Amino acid sequence: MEKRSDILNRLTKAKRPTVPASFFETFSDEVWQLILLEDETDGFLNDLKIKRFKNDLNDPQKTDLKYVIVSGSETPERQKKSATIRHLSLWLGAVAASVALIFAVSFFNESQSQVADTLSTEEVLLAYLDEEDLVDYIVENSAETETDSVALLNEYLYEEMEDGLFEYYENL
Amino acid sequence: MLSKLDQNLWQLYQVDNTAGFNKIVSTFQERIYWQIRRMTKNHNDTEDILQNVFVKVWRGLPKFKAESAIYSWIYRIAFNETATFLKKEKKHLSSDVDDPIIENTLSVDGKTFSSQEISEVLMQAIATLPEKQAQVFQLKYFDDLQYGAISELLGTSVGGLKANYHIAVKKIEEFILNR
Repeated sequence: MEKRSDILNRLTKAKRPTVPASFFETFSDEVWQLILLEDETDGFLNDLKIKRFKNDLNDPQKTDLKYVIVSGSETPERQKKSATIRHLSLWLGAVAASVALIFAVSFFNESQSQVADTLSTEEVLLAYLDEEDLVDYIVENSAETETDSVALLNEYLYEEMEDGLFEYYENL
Repeated sequence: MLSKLDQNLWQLYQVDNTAGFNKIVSTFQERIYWQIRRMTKNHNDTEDILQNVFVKVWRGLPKFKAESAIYSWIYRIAFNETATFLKKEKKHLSSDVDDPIIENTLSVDGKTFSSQEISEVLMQAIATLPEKQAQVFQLKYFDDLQYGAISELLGTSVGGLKANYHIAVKKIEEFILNR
């Protein structure tokens, strides 16, 4: 009959599985790499947080606290990183401004060409006339421009009527 | 009270953090590695977890109050880290799994466990033990350490360790019988 007690003594432990060669010799180096990597990441995130904090903090009562936190973070390494971030921001800002400028210039040119397309040389020159000359010009031109057939017929009839009336009164 | 091993490690750490930490890693890495690997059953996951454990140890050392043994403290970090990992990675079972930790079958009360089954039941049983009993059991049963060495690691008297081990064995056998 199988024994109920002493179960563990009836078990045979298997051999330990293999471990890559020199794993334990190099393990602490791997841990240090990870620690340094995390420190760098934390440093970067802290810089961002502090920047945001500085922007948000306008209360003069908190100036001392702000100074303590900000000055505490300004190690040379972090200064270098924030300088990199500042350069990056400036560069991005410059690119955005250039794109906006290109759009503005092309839009302005387009508008100008549209104006040039719709305005004749005559109209552009009219812009430089004073009001009196402008009125004269319009009156003269509107007289000259009535060149359609109805207007000519009307003019002819008026002249005929005028001549007829003149002859009638002359022969009285 | 700290064991002599812990006192030396702690003093070294306080004099030189980096050297102290390196010594802590070299002293405990292998035991902690096997503790984790019995749970994960593969090297790659074990390596990732072990790295995280010692990164946490490095971060936690300035706050460590030296009220418990350094090994016990690291053991707890490793256990929690592994449990969290296994919970997260439950669906992504690794294809490269170690052989069972027990190589024979077991027949008890007319029930037969394959080596795979008894290995899993054994690990489940250990997980139900109080921390101290689990530590003592693993160091004695799997690492084949003498009570003197375990005493040095855990800062507990040999008598206390024997009691802990005896209780742990009884609980594990009871757990297996009830499966």
